[in-house]
Formats: sequence, C-alpha cells, structure tokens
Amino acid sequence: MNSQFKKGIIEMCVMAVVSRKDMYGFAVIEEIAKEIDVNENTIYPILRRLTAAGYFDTYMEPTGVGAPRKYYRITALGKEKTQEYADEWSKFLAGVFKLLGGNPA
Amino acid sequence: MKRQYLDEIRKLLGRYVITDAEIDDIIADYDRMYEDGLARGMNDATVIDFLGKPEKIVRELGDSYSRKPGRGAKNGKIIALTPFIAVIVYFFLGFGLGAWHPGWLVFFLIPVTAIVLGNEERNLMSTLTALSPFAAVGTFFVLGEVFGAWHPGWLVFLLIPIVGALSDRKWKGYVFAALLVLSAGIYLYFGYTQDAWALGALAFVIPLVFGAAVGAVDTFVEWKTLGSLPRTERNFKIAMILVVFGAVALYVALGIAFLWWGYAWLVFLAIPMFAILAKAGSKGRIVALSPFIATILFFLLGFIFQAWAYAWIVFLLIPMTAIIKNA
Repeated sequence: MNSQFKKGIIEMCVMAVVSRKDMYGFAVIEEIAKEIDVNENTIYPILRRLTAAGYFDTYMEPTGVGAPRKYYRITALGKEKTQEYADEWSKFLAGVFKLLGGNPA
Repeated sequence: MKRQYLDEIRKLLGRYVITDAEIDDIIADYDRMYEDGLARGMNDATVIDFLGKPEKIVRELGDSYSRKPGRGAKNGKIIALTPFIAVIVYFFLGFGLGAWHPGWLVFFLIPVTAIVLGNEERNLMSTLTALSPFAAVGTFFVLGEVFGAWHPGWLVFLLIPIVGALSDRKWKGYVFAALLVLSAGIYLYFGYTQDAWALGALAFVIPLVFGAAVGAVDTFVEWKTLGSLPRTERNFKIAMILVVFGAVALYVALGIAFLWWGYAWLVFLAIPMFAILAKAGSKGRIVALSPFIATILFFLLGFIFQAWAYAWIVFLLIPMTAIIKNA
C-alpha cells in the first residue's frame, strides 16, 4: 500500500482512538498496533503533528510511580476533523466497494 | 540503553530547525514511553522495536521541520578539492624532497577535511572521535620515522579508546581514560628505567579489569545489555570484541616476533573494515571499504616494492569506486 495513503489512514485512526477517550502516547501506539500492521515510529510524530494543528491538547497526569504521563485529549476542532475524516472515509469505501464488489460491512 | 536511545534521537533532531524546548519536550515524551514499555515487562530491545529506531522516528518528525542548511557549498567545494590538493602536495614532497614516505600521510587530508567540514551536528567530541584514528596513525609515523620509536610509539593508538571513552561524558569513561593514561605511563616507566617492558605491560590489566567490572568498555561493548539485545546485534558485538582483541594480539605478536611494528599496524584496519562489512548496506559497503583497501595497497606497494612514487595511484580507487557505484 502507498505509504502516504497508509499514513493518512493511520492519522485518521489516531484521531478516532483519542476521540473515544483521553490516552497517553504508549497506549495509543499499543491500541493501534493491536489492530493494524503499522510502523510504530509513525504514530508519535502523528500525535505531535495533530497536537500542533490544534486537534489535540495535552495534560499531565501523575502515575503514582515514576514520571507523570502526558495525555492527549481531542479538542472541539479535532472532533470536527474526525467527523469530516469519517464521512470522507465512508464515501471513499462505498465507492471502492461499488467498484470491487462486496460489502463494506 | 535508554540514555543512548534518547541521546541518538536528540542528536538527529539537531539536524533540523527546531527549538531546544521542543527537542526537550520530544525527548521527555520518549523517555516516558520508554518507561511505559519497561513497566509492561518489555526489555530494551523490544521497547526500541516498539517505539521505532531513532533514524526512522526523526525522519517522520522531520516532515514537520526544515533541515538546517549545511555549511554551504563552500565547504563542499573545499572537501571536493582536497584530493587534488593532497596529490599536488604529495608530488611536491615526493619529487621535491624525496619524502614519498611518510609524505603519503597528506592523503589523510581527504577524510580529515570531510570529517571537520562535514560534521553536521557540529559536535566537538564526535569530531574528535572520528579524527582520533588519523591523529594516531600520523603521530605513530612521526614517532617511528623521525625518532625510530615504532615501539613504544604504538601506544598512540590508545588515543582512539581514550577519546572514545571521554566522548561518553560519564564518570566511568573519564576514569577509564585516566587509567589508560596511567597504565601507559607505568608501561613506559618500567620499559625505560628497568628495561622490563613485559612486566610494565601488566599495567594494562588495570583499565581492562576496571572496564570489565563497571562496564566502562561499553564504548563499543554493552556488557550489561548484551543479553537483552536482538540476536544479530549481540552476535555483532561479540564478533567486534573478538576482532578488536584479535587485532591487538596479532599486532603485538607480529611486532615482537618480526619487529614489524611499522607494518603490522595495518591489522587495526580490520576493526573498521569488519564493522563496515557487518553493518553497511550492500551498495555502500564497497565505497566505505575503498579508503581502507587503498591504504593497505598503498602501504604494501610502498614498503615491499619501494614504489612510493606510483603507489598513490591506488587512492584513485576511492573516487572511482564511488562514481561506479553511484552511476
């Protein structure tokens, strides 16, 4: 699969995962790597880029042991963007399945 | 291991236009993620596999930043000119002064210029580490040719591990470097005052014992983490230890048996050559090996056939190999 295309999909997945609940970096990587074969080194840079773009904000949470963790939380702008991605993705998939035959579900 | 990993990321980030505060933030994030991995029972190698290799991470992060400009075309031009300057100076020394040997040392200008002007991180210690083999070989020949002191002139090769240990910037490295200097001092003292070189050589046991005990030798061998490394990496490290000790043993043996102190140093080239063979990609391997092959051929032609006047031609192998491989 084209790496840029895959990166775009992973970005969408990162947004979807964080939109469900606030998460720290390692957990985001774990969550995504569990479902998709992904280069783990791409996920943190995506988290950072999305934070810089204003789709996430961050806060620190004490862990009880060791250094506090940085949590990522989706912003209102991020929610809008996630929805936008989801709509685009559904349309895209519908088109692909129409061409290939089969069922998106 | 974690410190090395984070330091590597920090070093590579230095190639981009990025503030120190941002770099600190990224390093702190990776520090936390690394700890999270260890807390889940992963070992260092698994955590690194999980988070990604520093080069790949920084390549991804680098998409958001622009690269720092190199030191410009000017430095590139100087680097490109040095082979020609070296040949001219070499001919002058050879035809003009009859000093084909050790005049050939001017060819060191080529890698030395590239190291000094091409060090993108502008890191003094990494520059000194890269320069130390050339400084050692140069000094070795001055001591050998000018003062006839091939032995114990070979001690200057200790410069390489000393600079390597200092570049770690850890107390263990400082102590290890100090012990190497001390043991060299003891060796010279016993050699010159008692003519007991073999007895004096026992002094080198001190840094070796210290190194093995506290891990200071982890400049190139991470004893403590060896077990947690992936198998191929572990085998490479073990093979490197054998090559290093083998080269030292062979050098000393050839020196003592045949008094080849002046030739036998070539065996030390086996160390970087082995590392290149093991680590470099198939395309870059021969290009990276070419300076070493050229040096060996040059030296053998010079010493065995006294063909110093023509032997320089073998250095043309270096640009020729690069051109052929990149064509």
